[in-house]
Order: sequence, then structure tokens, then C-alpha cells
Amino acid sequence: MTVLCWSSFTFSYLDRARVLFESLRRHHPDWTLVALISDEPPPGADFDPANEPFDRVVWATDLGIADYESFLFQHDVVEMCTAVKGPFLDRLSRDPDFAGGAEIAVYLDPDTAVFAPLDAVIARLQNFDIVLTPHLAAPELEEAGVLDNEMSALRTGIYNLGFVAIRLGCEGARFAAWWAQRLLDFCFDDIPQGLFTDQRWCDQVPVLFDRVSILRDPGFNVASWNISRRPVAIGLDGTITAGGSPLRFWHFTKLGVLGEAMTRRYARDNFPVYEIWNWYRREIERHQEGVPSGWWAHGTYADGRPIPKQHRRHYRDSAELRQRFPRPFASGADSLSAYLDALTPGAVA
Amino acid sequence: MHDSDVKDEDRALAATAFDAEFYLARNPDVAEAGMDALEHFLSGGWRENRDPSRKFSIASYLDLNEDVARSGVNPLLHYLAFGRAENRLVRLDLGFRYDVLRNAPTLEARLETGRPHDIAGEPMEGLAAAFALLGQSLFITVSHDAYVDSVGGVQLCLKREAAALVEGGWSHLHLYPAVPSPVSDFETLDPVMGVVIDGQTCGLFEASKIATAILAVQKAQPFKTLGFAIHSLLGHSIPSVSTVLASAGATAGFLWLHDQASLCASYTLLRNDVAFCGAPAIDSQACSICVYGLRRRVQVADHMAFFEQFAVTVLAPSQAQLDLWLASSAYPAAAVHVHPHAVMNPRSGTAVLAPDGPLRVAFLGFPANHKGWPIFAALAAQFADDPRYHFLHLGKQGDEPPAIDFIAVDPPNDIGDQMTNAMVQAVEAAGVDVALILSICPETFCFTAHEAVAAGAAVVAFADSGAVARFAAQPGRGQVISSEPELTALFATGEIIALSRAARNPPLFDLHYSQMTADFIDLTVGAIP
Repeated sequence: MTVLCWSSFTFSYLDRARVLFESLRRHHPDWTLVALISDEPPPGADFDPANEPFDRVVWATDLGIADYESFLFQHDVVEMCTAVKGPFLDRLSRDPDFAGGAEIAVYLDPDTAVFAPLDAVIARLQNFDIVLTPHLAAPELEEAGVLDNEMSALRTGIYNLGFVAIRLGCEGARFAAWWAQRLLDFCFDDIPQGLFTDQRWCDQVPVLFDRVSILRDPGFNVASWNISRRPVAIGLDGTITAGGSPLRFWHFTKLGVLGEAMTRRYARDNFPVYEIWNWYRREIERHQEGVPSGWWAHGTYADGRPIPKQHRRHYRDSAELRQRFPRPFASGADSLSAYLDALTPGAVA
Repeated sequence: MHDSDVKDEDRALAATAFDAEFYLARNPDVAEAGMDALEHFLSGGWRENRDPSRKFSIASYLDLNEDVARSGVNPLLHYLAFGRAENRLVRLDLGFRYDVLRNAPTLEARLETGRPHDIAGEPMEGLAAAFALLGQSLFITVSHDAYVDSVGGVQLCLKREAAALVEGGWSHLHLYPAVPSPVSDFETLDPVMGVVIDGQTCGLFEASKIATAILAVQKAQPFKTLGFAIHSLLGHSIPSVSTVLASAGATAGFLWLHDQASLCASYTLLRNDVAFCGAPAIDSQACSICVYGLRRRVQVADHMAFFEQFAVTVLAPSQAQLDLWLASSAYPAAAVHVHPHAVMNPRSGTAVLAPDGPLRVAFLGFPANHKGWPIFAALAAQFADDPRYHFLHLGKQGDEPPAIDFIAVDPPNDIGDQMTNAMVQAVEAAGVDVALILSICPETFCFTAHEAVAAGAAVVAFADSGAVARFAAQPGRGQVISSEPELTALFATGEIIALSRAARNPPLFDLHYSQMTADFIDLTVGAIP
């Protein structure tokens, strides 16, 4: 089975993506690795895909999304990177040339890293067309865990869409087409409306589609939100296990103070967790070159002013605005920016 | 900014969990100012993260209970009034390994800070003059330091070895790295080495100069007999050491397994400095996340080249170490032998018994992480108020938590101390019942375990501690445990008291030390078997 594995990110996450793709190279040298980038290289950056640990770059602009600039403006960086996952997958399943002949597509978030071959996923795709991993595969035992982790999964989605794998065809194609459409229309972080980017949608996958497999193996998608029930151990034979199962991939969500607090809270004295995190920090440090922190080409108006989240919301909620300002990033007189400033004085930070 | 008034009911509530003695000891400024400890704490000390007792950490309670942090109330009062009833988390037991791992610098950063860049070798003339004094039988030793002015168990053995060599008519050339390091050096092209001849330091010289000078001596007249013993390659460039040995004409010698440097760049085999790794396959997951993983590849390859160049006889100070080494390496050793640094000979006398007092539980030696000091300290804190136990630390330097009594013991630094081992005397004098030798990595040989038993104490050790575990497992010596919880349980149940002197009535021993490599060579003729 030929496999294409992709990740979706912007240049500020290039360091993480490099770590992921290097880990994939190590364990799956035969997979085709694709970077789906919703960004433009920062000025002065010497970005050469030939020097990167992936085989191909696909720019979000080339996915054929209608009214791309308008679409882009409606999304913040997280929404954008998740929104394009659907159209990309749909294109893979409809266009064998685009897929480079791949029969299986695997998505991994840029902040994951692979520690051992993901063969079990490929094996599942012999009998299933769609594989998802849940945030939690065992009930929390303490109230703090219920509040932080189980209730978070209720709000943001039962399955973590830092990973999804499909057979390109049959039910996989139906899923891809459906997901692509939903994400083109509604890939927003709007929890009160029941939306959390690409993720809440997939709560429906097991009932909307056949041939769906939920991979509950604790070695897949280990993260701060599930380590309370997946103690990590490193054997004298050098094997790392999570919840007793060989560690396959880890989701290094929230590299920083917040992530560390959640990790401490649930890993406690399970020190191999901190060893793994330390390794990740060192790897990120090693892959910093050309990665400007916080960079996103589409995070500002043309004049360099940051785009307030509220502006994006106004724009996406109003068909009239979208029609009137087809070039929403423009600045100056008669621009969306000027219009919204006048509408909501003082709202711009 | 201190609160002006404290309510009486708050004062009364806080007093139920406040340890004034602890507070004043932790905050000498409060003690010096002659202030009331509780008043100081309540009126603002808590805002400065000053803990009210050993059992309650302000920072940790606030870290775990964000709503309390936001509310700005005194965390201790919150806990006593509400938190306790709500089963709030007071602290996370993250363990000492978390402290080691938190903000751990990278290995390369650590090595860089310890590496001076301006060390240059001395002129060649001094070296030629020193080498002109070498006799026709030359024995070269290599270790991580100039043993002559260092203190330590192995250094002491090296002094005995050196004395035996010189007495046997050998010229003794000792080489050590000018820059000490916990790993072998593969960055420096021509490293600087310290040269010691017959116990006299001769200066620092580039390896290439040492090689040239010794080659000249050898060319003029080849050494009649020649051998070498490697005690440690830490800090050395292994290829450079090989070049020097080959220049002298050496083809065969000894390699001691004093540490695990031939197995990994972590000479303790502590993965990420926190846990025994078992020396797994170099491409294992564990090595891939370990700070020593990459260097291990080069360090092991350098050792392999060394074994291929010379006929190397491996000397292990314990059977446990040899077993570990044989199971974890693939070097083509010419031969292997076990040769302990010390053996125990029974001596007369009766151990001092203290049948009625608390069990005297001691930590011996330097309070390092890999020696299990944090485990001992945590145990002592947990049982601080338990009348069944009295915790002691016997060593050179103490930095004791209040629950542990420190007894200063000067380490011997002269081989004349052979029969008067200070640690044995101190353990005996203190009436130590049990020595907790809690190394979390395999020891190749353990002087303190021998000293403890020689003085009548029992030894408790972890199963993964190599030579210590093997030693403690022998009948009448002590007990081997598998984990920290098992250790705690021994104290909680009181089972550990079965190891008291009164219960064991232990025999006493003298320690008889080896002469290391000198025991393997015919001293008078200088022939190497």
C-alpha cells in the first residue's frame, strides 16, 4: 500500500513540522511526506523545500478554494490550517495524479512526533476506510480530570483530529467530500455554536459513514489530556510504552507554560513523560532556523496592522461585507479595515 | 505590602497547621527581626511564598488551584477552611527526577560551560627532559584525573597501584585530560594531557607532543617491557590516547570497568540523568530521546577502535559489573577478569548494640542524586516524627534537612590509611544499624557498602544498583529492594527493624585493599602475563 502522509501548518510551526517529518522519515522511509502550507515565506527567509525533510509542498492557495482571499480572511491561523485539511484530502481522493498514486492518506498535526512505525493504522485500513483516534480511551478517575479532559472532549470533539487516516476511495472518499464541504463552510472555533474547527464535525463520522475504526490503542496520540490514564514507561530494552502499549506517536500540544502545567498535573511523578518533553524541546531548538515566532503572512492587514479576531468574525458573518470587500486584507480608504474601525471605534487594539 | 489586621479566627485556624520553628529556620530575616512567626506569615509572608510548614507549599497549592490564586486569599486559610473538605490537591508529588529534568540544559551546553578554550600545552623541551628519566620498563596508566592530588576511593587505589609499580622498578607514566569531562572527547583534534611520572606532575602537553616525545625515546631504545592500564577515558580523546600508546610501542594492556563509559556516554547509565537505562540497543527508542544518545554512538565506536587496535584485557571490580558489561557490549576483549578493589577479612570485636533506641539509619558519603540522596531525604522527612527511626548522614559535607543528623567523616587521602578507615570507624561509633545505599544506577564497586558491613551495619540497596545489590544480597549483609514504594513500606510496617544490630549481632571486618593492575603483573621482572 502506498501511503501519503501530510501535515498542515504555517511558517511559525515549521520547526515542529520538521521534527514530525524527520520522525516519519525514520520510521516510514517509504511514505510520501507532504507539507500543506497556508502561509507565505517570511521576508528574507531562505525557504527551500529541497532542504526540508518532506517530499512535496502544497500551498493552500493552489487547492482551488473559491474566493480564496475572502476564505482566508474569515479564519484565524488555527481555523485556516484545519479548514484546508478537508479540501486537501478531498483533492487526494478525487485526483490520483495529485495523490501521486497513494492509496492511503494519513494526516498528522505538526506538533506530533512518531516514535515507532504506525503499521497498525495501515493494517486497520485493510478492513476499514477511516481511522480516528479519540482524545480519551479510558475514563478519568479524578474530578480534575473530568473537568479538564472529559469535559474538554465534550466541547472540542471526541476524536482528536491531530490524526486521521483514510483509504483513498469508497467510504474514505465520501468522508473526504463531506468533511471538505463542512470545513469550507464552517471551520470555526465557535464552541457556543457547537463548532470547534475541523474536530467537532468528526463526532458524527462513526454514524454518518461505514467502515470507520476507532483506534483506542493507548500508544497512539498520547497527549497531556490523556496521560493520566496512560502511564509512560521506558523498559531496560529501550522500548517506550504508554498505558502498557508501545508508544507510536505523541501529541506535543501547547509547547509552553500552559502545556507544562497540564502535563505536570496529569503526569505527576511519571518522569519519562518529562524526558520525552525535554527531547521534544531540544528537537524544536535544533530546527529553529528560519522560523520567526508568531509569523503568519495573513495575520495582518496590508499596512501591517494585526487583524482583530472580531474583524474576521464580522466579515464571515456578513455576506454583505464579503461582497462589498472582496479584497479584505487591503488597508486605506474604502477598505474593510477602515469600515470596521469606523463601525466599532476603539475595538482595534 | 503587609496586611494590617489579621482576624482572630484566622489566626486560630492557621495556628492549627503552622510550624513556627520551621518558619523561622526557613526565614532567618524574620527570626533576626524578632518577629512573631505566625503573625508575619498571616500579615503578608504568605504573599511572598513563605511556606507555613514543611507540609504545605503556597506555590504548589496556588499552582493547582487557580481559583484560589485568582481570589487572592491566603492559601493556607483557604485550604483549612474549604480546600481540605473539598479534597483539593495540596501538592503534586513530582519526585526529584522532575527537578533534574526541569530546565535541564542540553548535554552540549553542559559540556561547553565546563570547557575552557585557552588551555595550551607547555613547550616540548620540558617533556623531553621528563621522558629522559624513563627506565627500560614502562607502565602507562590513563585516568580522568591526576590521581595524585584527588580524593576518592578509586584515586586511593590508583595511588596503591602507582606505589607498587614504582617499588617494582617500573617507570610509571600517568596521563589525564587537562580538561575534565563526563564524556570522552571527540571534538578536540589535539587535546592537552597532564603528565605524571612516578608520582611527580610534569605539566600539560598536547597529545601529539607526548606521542612524538615517547616515540623518540622508544626509537632510541625500545622499552624492554611495556604495558598499560586504562582506568578511565573520560575527558580523553580515545584516538589520541591510542596514538600515544602506539608511539610507545604498546600492543597490549588492561582496561578497567570503573564506570560505564565503554557502554555509553552516560558513564552512570542513567538515561537523561534520571533512570537506569539497561544499556539498550543504540537505535532504541530510549536512546533516541536520551541526551547521551548521539554521543553514545561515537563513544562506543571509539572504544571499538581501541579494542581492535590493542589486545585489551578487561578488569572488572565486581562480577556484577562484568556481567552487565558482557551483556551490553560486543568488544573483542583478549581476556576478562574480576578483581575487587577491597576484600573483607573478619576481625575480632563485637558490634556496639543499642537494643532500646530507635533504628539508626544512615546515608554514607556524598549526597548526590545518582547515589539516591533525594530518596533518602524524602524518606527521612516522611518518618521525621516516627520515634522508631533516627536518620543520619555520614560524609564530608552536609546540607541537611532538619530530619537528618550530620556526622562529619573526612575521607582518607593517603594510602597509609589502609588499616584505619575513617568511614568504618564512624559507622561503628555511630552505631549505624542500616546503611541505605540507594544508588539508582549500577555501581561497579561500592566502597561505602563494604565500609558499612565492615562496621557492622546492614546494607539496603536497589536491585538495579549492580555491585551494591549483589553485595547486599549475600547472606547476613542486608536486603535488596525493587522500588522506592517498597523502601517506604519497609519503614511504614517496621519490617526494616529486623536489620537492627541487636537483631543481627553482626560480625565485624577489616578491609584489605587491592593494588589494582599491579596485582596482574610480575612486579620484579615487569613481565605482563
